[in-house]
Amino acid sequence: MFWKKKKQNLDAPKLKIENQEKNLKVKNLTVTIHSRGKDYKALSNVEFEIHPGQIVGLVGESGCGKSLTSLSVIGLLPSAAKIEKGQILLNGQDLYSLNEEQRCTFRGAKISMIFQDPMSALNPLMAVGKQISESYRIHHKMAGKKEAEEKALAMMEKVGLSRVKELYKEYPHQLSGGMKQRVMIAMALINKPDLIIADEPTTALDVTIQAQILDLLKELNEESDSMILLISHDLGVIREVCDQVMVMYGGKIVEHGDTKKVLQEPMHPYTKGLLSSVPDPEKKDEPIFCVPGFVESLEQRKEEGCPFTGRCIEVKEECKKHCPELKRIKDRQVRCNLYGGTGNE
Amino acid sequence: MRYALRKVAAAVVTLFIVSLLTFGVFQILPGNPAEIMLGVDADPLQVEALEQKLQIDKPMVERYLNWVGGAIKGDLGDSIRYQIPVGELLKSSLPVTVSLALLSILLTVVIVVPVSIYLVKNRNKKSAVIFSSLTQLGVSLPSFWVGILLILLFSVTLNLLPSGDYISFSEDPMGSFLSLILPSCAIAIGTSATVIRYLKNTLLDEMTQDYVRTARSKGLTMNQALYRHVLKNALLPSLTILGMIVVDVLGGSVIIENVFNLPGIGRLLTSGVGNRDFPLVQGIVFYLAVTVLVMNLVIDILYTVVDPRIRIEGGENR
Repeated sequence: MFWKKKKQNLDAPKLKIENQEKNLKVKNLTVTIHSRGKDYKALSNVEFEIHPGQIVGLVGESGCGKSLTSLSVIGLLPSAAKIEKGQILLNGQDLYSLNEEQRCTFRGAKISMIFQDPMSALNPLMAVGKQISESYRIHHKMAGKKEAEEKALAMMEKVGLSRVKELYKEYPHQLSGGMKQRVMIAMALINKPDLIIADEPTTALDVTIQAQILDLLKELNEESDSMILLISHDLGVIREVCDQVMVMYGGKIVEHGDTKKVLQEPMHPYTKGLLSSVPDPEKKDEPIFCVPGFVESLEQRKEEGCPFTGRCIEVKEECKKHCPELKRIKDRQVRCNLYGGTGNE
Repeated sequence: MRYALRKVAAAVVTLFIVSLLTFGVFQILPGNPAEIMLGVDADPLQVEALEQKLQIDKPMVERYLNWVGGAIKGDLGDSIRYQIPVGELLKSSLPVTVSLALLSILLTVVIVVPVSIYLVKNRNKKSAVIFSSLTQLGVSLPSFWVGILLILLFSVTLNLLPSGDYISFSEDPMGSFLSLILPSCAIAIGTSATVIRYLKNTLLDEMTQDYVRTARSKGLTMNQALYRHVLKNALLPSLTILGMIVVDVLGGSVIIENVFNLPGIGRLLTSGVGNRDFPLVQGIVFYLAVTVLVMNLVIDILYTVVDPRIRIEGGENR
């Protein structure tokens, strides 16, 4: 049961407040999914850091573990998924050493999340204003209705919503997709969180609205010096807003580096494939390139070897047996047998 | 406005069809009230005289039109068996059935909501699994049997509650309440089991919705998300089921009223059919049809109160 208090964690260490350094460190995160009596590795040894002011992109095809990574960080994994090993440290505090009650004080206050589909992510029977102010009141127990409402109205204005007073009392179905996503953002930002996880925040929106929402996220990030983990399968979105990008395949990070450099000069064959799959208007007569094959389902995934072996065009014999570590090569980290690096940093 | 007009027109057509059907069925049923009243060995001349007096010797169409004409003016005719206006018979039986219905629906709601929440919260525990199977039992138990068991336990063995007979509210409020507890329980056990099974599943469904994850990401505990967000969404579909049950109980529970000797609509209906008392049965069926229509309207209105999405659609219709 996914909301059940974790009994073994009841005597968890007290929250560390003295550590003022803000950052997110994900260390060696391995998540398994239980399905038909067996455990499958859905994420293996995911490791990354985010620092204040940074927007880090996480890109990959559906099923590669992007959303699982984000849900692990905020602690809302589905009941079938389990963190096998690894640590998630926010400002030095290991989130999984806390009990459920303590984690609830982090969720929404220190870490918040913007979801993919604003149409279904809002409660259809509750006025949007109330949904925003609820987010405030849950973490400010002393705050009255009035105060929460004022905060919510101010936040709504900040995320670019107009006629907020009326909007406050309206229901999700009365709002457009873009407005709903702004409501979601207002909800996520009202407690000034250190870390914002945006899981495909623009996928369900029109292209024009997409740009507005991305600009808004970027602006808010610069203003508040927060950390953003942006998940997307859209390289255009990543290019536009992210300082760093992590490319994920088969539950592993395969390339991680500065966005510009990675997208200009990809090193991992998968990143190369992803980039050449983006339709190019200048080559409109040629067929669109796509990475051959498809993502293997969790059950089909092999324990050993590189997960990309079956689809890789530069595959070598050793790839089937051995998947290398994430190695520092020049300006970035790559996990591939093509590059003989010097080991993990 | 057009929406409302359409509803009213549909209601009138329904009532008309219902009255035609009851009338038709009564023509097919063998036996006539005069014969039943006078006995099998009665003198044919006497029977004929009574038939004339009761006006059942007239042609079918005329009788039907007479009835419709009266009903439009609010006169449902006189009962053949009791020789008093059907309206009055209904008026005296209605309080019994309505108070029984109210109490059993109240009991149902009071049982259903907490039990469903308990089952959903503890769905992986053994106790919840056992309870869930018990609801299956509750659905399949016949209410008269439950009624008899309740009488055996609470009236005969423990001597705590009256085993039947109706005491009117104006006479003795407490006594009236006590006299209705057992029959209400007999009804509520079956209805609760049905609604619990339904509500539990909707709750589980709603729990997997995206908005619940959003609520959790705001820092709500699972319980807070359940009470503040999920419950209202899950109750919505259950409203329809509950409405159907209300109609069912308001229609008079023939069996329960007989088991507990309550002079309600159900008892009146049995006696009407037994005596081939056409005006009485027609009147009761008419009352049932109106109840169904009104209840549906109430449910529709309730929906618009709870669900803002329907409110807007209604507004555009107007």
